Amino acid sequence: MKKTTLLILLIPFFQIASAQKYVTKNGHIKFYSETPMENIEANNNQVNSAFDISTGDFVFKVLIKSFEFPKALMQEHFNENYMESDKIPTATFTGTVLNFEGIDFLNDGTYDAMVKGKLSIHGVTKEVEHAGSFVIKGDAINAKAVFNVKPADYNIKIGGSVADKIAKEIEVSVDVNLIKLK
Amino acid sequence: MKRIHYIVIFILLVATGFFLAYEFVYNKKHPDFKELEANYKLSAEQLYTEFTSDNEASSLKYNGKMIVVSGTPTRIDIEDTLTIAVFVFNEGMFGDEGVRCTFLTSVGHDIQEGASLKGFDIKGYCSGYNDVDVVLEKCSFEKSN
Repeated sequence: MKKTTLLILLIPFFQIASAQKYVTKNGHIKFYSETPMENIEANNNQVNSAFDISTGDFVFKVLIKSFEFPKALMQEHFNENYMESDKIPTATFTGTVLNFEGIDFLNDGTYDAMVKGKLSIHGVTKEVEHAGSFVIKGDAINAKAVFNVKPADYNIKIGGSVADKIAKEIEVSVDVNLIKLK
Repeated sequence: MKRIHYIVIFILLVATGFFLAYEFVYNKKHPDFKELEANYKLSAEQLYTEFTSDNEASSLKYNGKMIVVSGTPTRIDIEDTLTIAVFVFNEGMFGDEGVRCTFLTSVGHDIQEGASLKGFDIKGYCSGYNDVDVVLEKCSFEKSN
């Protein structure tokens, strides 16, 4: 077979391969702590995420210093005392959408999803499995999930006078608009 | 002075102490990022090269600091309420890789209204390198030297 013929035959393959990945660099993660003493919310709009619809692989990379709190003092404590973001600047999730083969990514629709993988926070990695949802619209996939994280599981020590102001379980909400990588 | 006067003065002092602690410690405002002095000035490409060469050392040096970067952005992205100057120096699993500067809302609004970056550098708070981009946030213009 001539080289040009082979090249022409391979072009659609490469187009499909590159069309499998959806990414964002401005995903949103919010966490919320609720106690009788105080409710605390922080938001991060700089979340990197990539999702490969051909394998179900799903990756998140989060810069800890990008979390914004309503109060400057809370942000300082979060970075310096709890997350130690100078030493451990990122949190990551690397996993797979377990039911990705049952999702029709080429047509608009809403689907439930189960995601399983390794969540690394504060230098501690844990196996996690959570439910979420996908909304597919054209070249975009909106992925959402809400789950709880226990700071103690990730060796985040919260003591002293603020112990009663921070929940033992923090609610984490993930909302990413993934766009097809061209 | 009567004893009651001492008690009133003591209560007032304690109340003032609590008020000051609440206002200037607990309720301390976020800094005005536009007015903060830059800790470092360098080209966007140099900043990216430093992080990709030695992430650990660069993180310790730059993370949490105000940085002024020079150079011409590859493009301006607008995503929802965010306006981002993007310097592209590489290609990877997330597509373009480089330095991403997210502007303060008011500055982003000016850019969307047509304000030019020509003759200006970009100053922002470095939140780190995520193995894809060096991220600067709360960015504003800084007159080029």
